[in-house]
Amino acid sequence: MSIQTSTKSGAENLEILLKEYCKTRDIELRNLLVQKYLYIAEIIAKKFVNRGIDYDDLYQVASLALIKALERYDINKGYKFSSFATPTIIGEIKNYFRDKSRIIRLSRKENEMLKKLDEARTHLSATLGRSPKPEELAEYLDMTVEEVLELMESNQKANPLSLDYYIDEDNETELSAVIGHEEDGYINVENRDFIDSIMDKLNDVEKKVIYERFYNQRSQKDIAEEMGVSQMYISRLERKILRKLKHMFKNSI
Amino acid sequence: MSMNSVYLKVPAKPEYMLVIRLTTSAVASRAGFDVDEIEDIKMAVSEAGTFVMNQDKGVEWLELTFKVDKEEGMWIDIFASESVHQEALFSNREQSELSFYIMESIMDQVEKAIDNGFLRGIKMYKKFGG
Repeated sequence: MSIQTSTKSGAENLEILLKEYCKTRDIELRNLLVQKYLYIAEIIAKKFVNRGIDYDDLYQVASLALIKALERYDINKGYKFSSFATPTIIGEIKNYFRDKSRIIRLSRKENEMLKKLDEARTHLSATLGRSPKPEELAEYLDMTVEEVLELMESNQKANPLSLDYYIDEDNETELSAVIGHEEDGYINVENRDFIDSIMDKLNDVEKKVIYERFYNQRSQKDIAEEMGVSQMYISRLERKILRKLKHMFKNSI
Repeated sequence: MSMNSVYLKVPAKPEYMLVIRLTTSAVASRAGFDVDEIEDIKMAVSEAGTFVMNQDKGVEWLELTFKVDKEEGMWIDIFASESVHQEALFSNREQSELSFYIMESIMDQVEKAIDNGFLRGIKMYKKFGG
């Protein structure tokens, strides 16, 4: 009879263990539970094979996620453990993919070839006892030397460099120091030049309005008071001048 | 709103999962999902297919409907040709539960379509950029 009950209630047993663990958070019990639930990690990890990451790595990530899930699981919330663990594990695997996947993606073919190149490199290094030459790699992989070199290059290009990366041997110059940026100065000079040339075409009142409004940042009301006119007048004048300037600008380009 | 639909009916046999998977990825790519999302959708659809298929040996056909809305996302229904007995749901329970959790974690919405106490199939939805 005792055998019957113990075989029948494998799942129930786990529930009891889980309840116990949620109370005590005993590490030995956790390890036992991890072993019991490892099959979940295995099943999920297997769903993600053939996406460019080895099964062993996926299984490891999934197992670690399982441990995390167990540690965060609270039986009193009323969820089943597997319903809690599944999204956690999938989430961790996805994060892993995100971290692992390259920012610049290579074509699938290139990726596969790179893998082969890597294998060939390891294999030849071991058998030759030194780093292989491109010609040897080419011969081993049945490709041309150019193809090998191109592959090696594409591997480099897919890895983004850090801006703090030193580009010289003395570790003095950082990559960021030599990267160009758009120079605003030129466009500033051109704009200034344009404004200077059109300001000449405005009469004194117009010039004054523009100058006070946009160089001294004064309000229309303020300028109107100084010039003894209504604010409406300044407003209309300003619109008229801006229209004129716009028109001139369009014609100048 | 423009909605495009694709219908697929295949024998409920494991070897036809390939047809389902390939169709799914083609439709998902038409819809505008990126490669990772396509992989996810494919995984969910094959889980659902196996889920429905494994509930009952009597299922002959799987019928799939894909609906794509360029702004909203994609709806996929996976139905068995016959209703599956609800009791059958509890056969191999642990596995099917897990596979349902997997679907729920990778899609934005998953529900069982139950008709008079019989499981008819699974409806799922994936939104863009989700």
